[in-house]
Amino acid sequence: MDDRFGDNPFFVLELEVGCTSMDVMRQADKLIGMLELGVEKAATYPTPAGDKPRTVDKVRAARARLLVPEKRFFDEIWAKARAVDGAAAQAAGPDLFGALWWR
Amino acid sequence: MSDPLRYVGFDLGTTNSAAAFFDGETVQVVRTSQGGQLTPSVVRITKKGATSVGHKARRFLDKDADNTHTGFKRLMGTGKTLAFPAAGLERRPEELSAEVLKSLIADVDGQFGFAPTRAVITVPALFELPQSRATTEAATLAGLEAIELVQEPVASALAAGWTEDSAGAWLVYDLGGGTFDVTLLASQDGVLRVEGHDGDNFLGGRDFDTAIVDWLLTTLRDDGCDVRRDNPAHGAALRTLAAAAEEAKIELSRSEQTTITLVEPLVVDGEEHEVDVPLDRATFERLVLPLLDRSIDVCLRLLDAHDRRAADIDRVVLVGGPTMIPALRARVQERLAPLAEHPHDPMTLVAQGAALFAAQAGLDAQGATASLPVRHERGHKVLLKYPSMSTDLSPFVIGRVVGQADDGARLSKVIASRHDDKFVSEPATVEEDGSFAISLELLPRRANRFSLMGQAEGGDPVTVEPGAFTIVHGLTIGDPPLSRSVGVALANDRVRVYFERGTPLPAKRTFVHHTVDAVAPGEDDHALVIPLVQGEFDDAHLCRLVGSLDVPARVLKEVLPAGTQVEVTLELDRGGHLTAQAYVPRIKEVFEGVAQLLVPACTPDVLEAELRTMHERIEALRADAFRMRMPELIAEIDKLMPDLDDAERGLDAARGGDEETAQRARRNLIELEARVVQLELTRDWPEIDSEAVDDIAFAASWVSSLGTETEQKLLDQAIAQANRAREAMDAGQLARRMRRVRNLGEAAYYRHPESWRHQFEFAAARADEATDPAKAAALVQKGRAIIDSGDHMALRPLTEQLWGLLPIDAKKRQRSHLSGVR
Ligand SMILES: Nc1ncnc2c1ncn2[C@@H]1O[C@H](COP(=O)(O)OP(=O)(O)O)[C@@H](O)[C@H]1O
Ligand SMILES: [Mg+2]
Repeated sequence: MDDRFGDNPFFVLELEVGCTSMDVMRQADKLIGMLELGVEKAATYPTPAGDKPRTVDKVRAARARLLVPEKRFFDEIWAKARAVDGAAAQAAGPDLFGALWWR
Repeated sequence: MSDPLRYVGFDLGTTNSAAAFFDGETVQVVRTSQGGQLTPSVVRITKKGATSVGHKARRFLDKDADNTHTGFKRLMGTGKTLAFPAAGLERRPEELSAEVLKSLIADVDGQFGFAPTRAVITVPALFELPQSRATTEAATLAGLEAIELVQEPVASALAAGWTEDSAGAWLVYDLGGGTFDVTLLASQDGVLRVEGHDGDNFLGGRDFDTAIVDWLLTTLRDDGCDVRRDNPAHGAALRTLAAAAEEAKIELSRSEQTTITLVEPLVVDGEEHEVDVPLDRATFERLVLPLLDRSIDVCLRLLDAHDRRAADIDRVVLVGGPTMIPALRARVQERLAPLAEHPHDPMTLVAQGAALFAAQAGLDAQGATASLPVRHERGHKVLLKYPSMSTDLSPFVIGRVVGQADDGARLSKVIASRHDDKFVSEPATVEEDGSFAISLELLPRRANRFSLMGQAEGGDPVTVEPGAFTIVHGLTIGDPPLSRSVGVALANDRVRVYFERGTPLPAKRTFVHHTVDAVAPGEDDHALVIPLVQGEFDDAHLCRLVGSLDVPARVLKEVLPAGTQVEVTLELDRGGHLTAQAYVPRIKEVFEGVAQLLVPACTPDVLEAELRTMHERIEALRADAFRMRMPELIAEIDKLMPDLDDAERGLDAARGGDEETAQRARRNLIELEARVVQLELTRDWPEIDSEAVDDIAFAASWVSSLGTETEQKLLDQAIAQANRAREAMDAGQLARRMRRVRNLGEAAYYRHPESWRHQFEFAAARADEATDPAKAAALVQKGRAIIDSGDHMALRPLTEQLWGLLPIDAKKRQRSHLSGVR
């Protein structure tokens, strides 16, 4: 099952919650370029639960989500939730998001 | 030295096609050999087998109707062929589209001196998968080596956005010869995003012609000339009148008054009739106003679905021939929103956008390598990655050194300078692994060419290869979004959605299904059917069957028992081509190849049967509405009747042998059915509403005791949204919003240690109905033992297996496109 918490687009793109659409586009293009050229430091990203592998597909999916305000809203909640109830969110995250978006 | 940028886009229209060329700075519409900008999508094949395309062929549309075809775009992907009896040939729609493309390619060659081998082709936003695949096939037949498909409204918006400031919400209103498409787009920070589509597959300029002809027929009947639509013998006369009506319509876009005249007298049942009927603009407008309003209603429906109002729209971009009609422009402004400020050519905007999209896709018209200069001196070889078109004025170019220069000096820094010399980048450090990233600055709305220079350790300049690259600045669009959700139909008439509408392409997904019945080896080619559907409904039968992955019985060596696992993988590429694969772990076999993805052909008999069922459902609905004293519902049912009559008329025409009209009637019926479903939901509203109230209470209590703080917040929002749908009495929307409420409720519920025990008991109570009772009984026994041991979570997989054995209602199965999986 997808890891909705670890795959939070803000983590994947290493962007702050307040960033603009332009930041999203720029960062995604940059990361895709680096991944396509096999640049090592682009190959993983940090999450509160440790480093995760980054792929071109993940970057594209993250870009697409953050460009849609309604979807971005949920990701913002979760990216912020980590600060407040990190452990609970992590426990509930995958399951809950699976339920929400998997159908 | 500068390698020219060459991007080509084609608008392969139903009525007219066009090509455009983009060099990074300006977009030019390609002139045809006739000197115009449009190539009618018409193909004629003469007795000697000579093929003509465009204007040359169009002249024969009524003179040599049998050997001259148009409108074949609508038959793409149907598997139908069109006959050219004089030459004794049959051609598929894909082949005819390829002829049109070849003609456009030749025109590009004529004007720009090269034949493109790579290009962008536009397709309607609501094209289904088989139709997109057919378009790619046409391109291959026309000799193109690589193509990308882009949706027509996206192309229109890109082209409109190239010449004017684009922030805000846009509607692209595209009324063509036979189809209407409307798209809602949002543009923010120069990035264009498709929010939604709607449309009417069977509303277009031709309906305006039909409205004129219908009016004309009554006028002529008064003069004793009786032409009938349902009389196959009157086909030629009707075609002649339709052509004259179209001319009159176009004339009325320029002048207040025209006369419908025929060069030769009309021959009806052996008698000659002179036709000479004046038509003024006011009469014409009265005739077509219902059609205009129908298109605008579709727009409002789209806005409504996205919680917007007409006042929220910043501009409307008009596309397509009929948008030249002054009354249409006035009506759109009156009922919708202001028109785009900049005057756009509604006939060629789509092609222009296609050429712009080619730049964004980096699809150089002759292949990128063809334009790379051959160098003799050798510098440091680098690989570069940059967006060929960028919205961002300060994008990055990423590079990696892949080969050292002959002199062996290590490359230490790289600098980019723009060709107008007004920008030179900071020197970027080449990292240990040979990679570097340079931040650039672009000039808006043009091609920005940069040179790359390297520095060795000591600061000496060294060359890098390639030494230059170009980025075009302009409005861009994210990855192309899927226009309709795609999934697998399940035997219980539900849909397992693989890709939601709006999913960025390409995309790939795998889900595990289970067979409903045992599948035995034998002769049956469709022993196990996995139907692939497209659409936005939860019920499989309401979605369109776009293909089917079938496991033939002859490949099986043993019986697959009911409940056998099947892993289905669906994959969609950028152009919307679907591939499917089923893996059966039990026998370690993979099944591939989607049994023909086709838009089903439809005979008048099938149509008639569907129409009859529709009549019955509507009458049942009406009877209930009377019984339950629901006057609003009766009023809504009455509104369906004109469309039912339309479908009836379509059936008449289909009996005349016209496959296109038959397709049209069938799709009208599908749309009609969706509305009937909506009304049936309205009838059932009290029940639906009270069920929703129960579910909200369930979710609220479980989330408040076992949910997280965030879940509680999400639930509050979801409930508020559901309540809005309840207030609006919108059953469809309520169903969608309740899904979220239930999911949140269930997530909390399943955290309760006893929840799986309850679910197990429910399923166990029905074990005697199972498809494999022995297996079910064994599972129940095992479950009881687990309960005794107290490990309730271990009940989950067991209960799920048990569910998989419970029978499925045969009627549902029938409606689910005969799906063999759940
Ligand atoms: N000036 C005009 N006024 C009104 N209708 C027009 C005009 N020019 C073309 N049309 C109509 O536009 C339709 C073709 O539109 P077009 O956008 O080329 O269609 P498509 O996208 O289906 O290829 C035809 O029905 C034609 O009669
Ligand atoms: Mg068109």
